[in-house]
Amino acid sequence: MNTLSLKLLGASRINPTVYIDGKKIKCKKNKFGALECAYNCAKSEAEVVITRQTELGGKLWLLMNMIFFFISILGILDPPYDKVCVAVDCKFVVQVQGDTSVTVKVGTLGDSGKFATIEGTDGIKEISNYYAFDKKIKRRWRIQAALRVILFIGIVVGLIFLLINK
Amino acid sequence: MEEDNQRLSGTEEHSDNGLALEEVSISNLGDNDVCDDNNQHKIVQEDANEIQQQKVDNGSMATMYLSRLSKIMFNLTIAMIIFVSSNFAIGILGILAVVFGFMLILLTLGIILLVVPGYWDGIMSISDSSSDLLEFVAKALPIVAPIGLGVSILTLVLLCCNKHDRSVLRIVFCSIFVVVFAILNILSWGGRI
Repeated sequence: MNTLSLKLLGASRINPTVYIDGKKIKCKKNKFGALECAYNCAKSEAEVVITRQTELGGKLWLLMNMIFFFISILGILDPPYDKVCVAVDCKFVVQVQGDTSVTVKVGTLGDSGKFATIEGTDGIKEISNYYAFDKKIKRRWRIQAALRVILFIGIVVGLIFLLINK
Repeated sequence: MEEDNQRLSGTEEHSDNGLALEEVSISNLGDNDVCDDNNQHKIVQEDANEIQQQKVDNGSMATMYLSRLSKIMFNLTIAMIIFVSSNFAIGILGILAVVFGFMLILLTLGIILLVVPGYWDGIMSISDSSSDLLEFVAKALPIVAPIGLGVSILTLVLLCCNKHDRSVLRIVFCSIFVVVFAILNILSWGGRI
């Protein structure tokens, strides 16, 4: 059985989703803040896909957002939404022989460009390795933030008005 | 190159991973994307802004929503614990205010009573208002305690089911909250509170 050890440096801030051979792999954060995961593969090569999914990327983003807004008492108890609005597409095939370690070093993310430097064995074939600013997510983030503020002010003012006129 | 352009334009799906992947939006890089020998994409700034390709895994979305819900419920449990513990905190603060006020009189050898008119009345009014608050919290406690127990148990279940970012610390704290609410309920039913 071959084992692929994958280490993602500087990637914890973007909370990436990792698929190896099509299976979603859960990465654990080590004490230095790097994400680590290990995968046992029967084949001699493994396809690694690193993407990024956010709650605002789903179909029901607005409905869920509003449900959470009301459950969390007008958003007071709701954890803030991720402000990082980048779409990541990193895909590579790695030759796995015995214990193979691959390190993905994510640099400073600007608007777009190369996502990471992939280091490890010689048998790494990069298929894609880039990230880009996701306008759609940014727009949705702004819409939900504005909607929350308007709703919060509206409901609070309405409640005060009702209490005064009671 | 052809394959990569196809992927960049969002027409390819991860059909081999067995997950229900869905394309949200499709965008095309156009002809400005540059691929070098290593098949590396260097995206021109203008084109990068056009990229909105994102594949959404419905399972991941569900776990993310579940994770958020569990965090909200945990925060709600904390708010309820604060409300319940305010019963004791208000009582202690009322006592502390009186003790502190009395100590200030002793330390200043009573001069503060001459300098600040109505000093003792002020201290007593703090004590009175705290007792009013105590009465309100005591009335609300038999209602809040069972709700808190229900919410904390639900939160514990949600936190245990959370696969996205399971926090052991939250589970431990939530377990403590369940015990606290259970004790409060027993005391409340027994008429001790």
